[in-house]
Amino acid sequence: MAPQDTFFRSSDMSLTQLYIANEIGREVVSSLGEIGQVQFRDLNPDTNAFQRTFTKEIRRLDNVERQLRYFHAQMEKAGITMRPSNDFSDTLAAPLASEIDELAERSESLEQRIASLNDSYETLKKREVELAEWRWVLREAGGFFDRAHTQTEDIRQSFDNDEAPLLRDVEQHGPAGANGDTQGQQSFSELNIGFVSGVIPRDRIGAFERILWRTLRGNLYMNQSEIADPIIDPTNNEEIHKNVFVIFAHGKNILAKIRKISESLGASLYGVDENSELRRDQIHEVNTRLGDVTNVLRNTKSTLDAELSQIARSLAAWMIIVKKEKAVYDTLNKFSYDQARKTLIAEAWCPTNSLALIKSTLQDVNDRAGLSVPTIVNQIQTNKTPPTYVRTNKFTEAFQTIVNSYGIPKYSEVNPGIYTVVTFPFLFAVMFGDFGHGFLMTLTATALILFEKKLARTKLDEISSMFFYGRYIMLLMGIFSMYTGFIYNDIFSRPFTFISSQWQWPQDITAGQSVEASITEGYRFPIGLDWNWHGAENSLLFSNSMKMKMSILLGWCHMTFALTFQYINARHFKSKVDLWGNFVPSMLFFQSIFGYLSLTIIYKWTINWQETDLAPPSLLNMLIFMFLSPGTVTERLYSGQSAVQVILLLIAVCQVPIMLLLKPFWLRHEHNKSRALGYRGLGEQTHFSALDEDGDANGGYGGARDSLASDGEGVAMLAQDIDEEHEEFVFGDEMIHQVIHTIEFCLNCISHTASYLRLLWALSLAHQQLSIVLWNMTLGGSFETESPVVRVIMIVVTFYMWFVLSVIVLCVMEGTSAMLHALRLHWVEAMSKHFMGEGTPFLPFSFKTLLEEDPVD
Amino acid sequence: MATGENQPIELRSNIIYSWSLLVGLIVVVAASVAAWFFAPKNESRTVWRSTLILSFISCYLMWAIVFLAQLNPLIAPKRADIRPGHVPN
Repeated sequence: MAPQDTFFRSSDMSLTQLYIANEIGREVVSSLGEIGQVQFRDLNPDTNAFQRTFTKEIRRLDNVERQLRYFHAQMEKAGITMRPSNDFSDTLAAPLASEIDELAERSESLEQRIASLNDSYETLKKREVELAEWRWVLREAGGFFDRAHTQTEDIRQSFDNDEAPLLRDVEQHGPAGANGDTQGQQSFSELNIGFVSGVIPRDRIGAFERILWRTLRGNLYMNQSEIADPIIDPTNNEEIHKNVFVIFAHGKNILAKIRKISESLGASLYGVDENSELRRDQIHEVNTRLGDVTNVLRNTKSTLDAELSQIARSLAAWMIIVKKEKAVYDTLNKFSYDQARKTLIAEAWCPTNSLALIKSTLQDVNDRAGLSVPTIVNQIQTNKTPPTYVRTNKFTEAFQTIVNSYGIPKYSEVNPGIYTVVTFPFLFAVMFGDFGHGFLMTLTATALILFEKKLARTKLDEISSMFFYGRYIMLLMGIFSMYTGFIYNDIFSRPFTFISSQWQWPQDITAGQSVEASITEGYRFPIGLDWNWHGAENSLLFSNSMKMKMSILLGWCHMTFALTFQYINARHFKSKVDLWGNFVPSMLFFQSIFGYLSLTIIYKWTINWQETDLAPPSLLNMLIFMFLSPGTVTERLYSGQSAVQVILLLIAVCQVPIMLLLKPFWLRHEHNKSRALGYRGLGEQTHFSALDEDGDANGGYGGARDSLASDGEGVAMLAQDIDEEHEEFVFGDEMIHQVIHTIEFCLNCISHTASYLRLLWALSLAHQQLSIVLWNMTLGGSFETESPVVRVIMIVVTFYMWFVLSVIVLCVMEGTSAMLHALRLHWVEAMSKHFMGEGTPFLPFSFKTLLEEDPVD
Repeated sequence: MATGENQPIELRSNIIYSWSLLVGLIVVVAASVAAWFFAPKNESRTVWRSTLILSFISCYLMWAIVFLAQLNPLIAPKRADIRPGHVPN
């Protein structure tokens, strides 16, 4: 049994072979998908998607999925909301194959029904629009006619002069039946004038007029008016503004031409009777028909809506079922099929500790199916590198994401996540230290955690879901910020004064007198920064010196801590060469320079320089002169200092060649030794034995691998393509790699320490100064207002300003910046000391992640 | 620079303060040992242990550094804005 899986390392993984009876393949995969602890390997990488075994099933499910999406689209169009998927996800059991068939049939028939309802709805809608347009034409054209009739006399006169009598017989019939005038009114037919009426989109009216004018050379009389209400196009639900037009013209051919032009420009033509009596009847008829159509339309719509809301109740569940089913068949396609024994063979990575669970699940599936042939689970020995799987819970998940976004840990190396849980929020807090701001952050995080069950179910937008995802990081950041704020003695930039100070001011002071406090004998401020530094003129002088030194000390601790993991890794991978060639020289180099610096910082603090005859030395100069002029000490810190510094410098310098040369030469020695004993790499071995046809000995190992992979058929190949990461030892590569590593490490020791100094100190300084400025410009200023009334108003107004700005600028903006810098300190400064990060992530076949990545609603 | 006469007294008093660093260390070590043994015995045991112990150590470091920095201050706070009768103490 493997050791218990912890957050310290990734879980032990096993490569397993599953022999599954063909009949229950679907059920087995489905139950494994529910567990979500198995990553299947593709055993048919050369087969394309269309040639695989279960392509037919997947196509069928694709079709069902398309139908379900169609329902969803229709629902959105109709404004019907789907029942959310998280109503189901816990209760959905794996469906039987027959249930899937049923679902497919059902969605097929539903699709037809919805489609036909939709079709008739759209036809009716079109009809309705047409009728409505006709009504507009009748109404508007009626107006033209009424106006035109009063002018027929004038028109006639102009026509009577020339050819009108000749054409009388030919042009007797207008398009809309023009010879029904019984009221004694003058008819257009007598004038041999016909007309075309219809509607046209408003934006085309200009073009329409121009074209007509040009083609007919001005032989027309056009009348138009705008329709006040927009008309809704049923095909795409867009509003279109349209105009009614009536064109009077002369001659059959010309009218036909007008009709053609109008239709080609997208106008719809409607017949209008010239006679006002008949027109009234027409309007009446249109109105009745419109009423009928509207009624039918309403009925169709309500039937459609009822049908859709019926579907909406279970659509999410169907979508989940189909999605799972499709994933199952996709997975089954990765299996190889043994024709002779009628079994599916799968190969999968799974955590060794989950094997028992997997076996019992498979047994359950077998029992339920009543099969006598058990599903066989075989563990295979392999030298493939397993995928990295770090078990996380809701607390550690976000922290692990910080690590993973830099690199996936190598299989079984120390997971940097283990210390990131504390050091990330802590370093953040060093930069963000303010009790009040930390308190606000803690409150927010606590609220997110208290309502996490409710919030996990609701859909959040991108930014709030990011906050929600990092709620435990935020909680720790808040708590640590409260602590560091207490140590810095800052609460919204004000000091805590409940502990008595170690400084005393002289009692008799005249106004404006510059005074210096004196230290209380036998008492030191027990916790945090003395509050008397707040408001002191030289407070920055003191706090800067303190924070800079603190940054170096914390950075040294963090880096030393991270460096120790190199030792743990070297021991875990049983790599002596990494221990003596990398860890030990690195550690000695780092400690003899920066360990020494840290020690002198502490030593300098413990000395009471007022009591000695020496001036306090500058530690920065000390470090610089330690390199520039070894052996001479300008400002003495302790006796024997120069000797110690020379020795330390020698130790540090000696580590460089060790780091540079030991590992490559050690590896070469080992390599040559095993060669001399006649050992060959596994890949090379097959190269000599399995080489039949291509006798090219210089063909390289890649060729051997290819022939091996193509030899392996079916079962035999499963675990045999062994040497995908077997690399041959090349001394030159190793040497170059080590040279780069050495140079990088030595330079980084300096630049990384500087990074801690820069980031931790500068950001905490900036945060503190910003909060002081904000306080003074808002609330702090309003307390000093003279008039009591104004003061009250000012306090209320500036309080809101101060609070809002505190949250936005100091908590959110400064917090983000501090968080980014804390991220950087982890990725660049700490993790580079030990993290290999060459792992591949474990991507188990899991319905849960499947639905999380691609939610159905 | 003070006279050599009261130097031993001062040094002794500083040593006394330094004891408080040791006391703090003992407290932190005790808390860490307690965290190691009382961490819940489930699959998140490692996380409990490492988180608590690292937190204790981090907080101790922070406190100790600030305490040490004020042990023998090289400068004293200066102010010119103190009003007579409102001396902060």
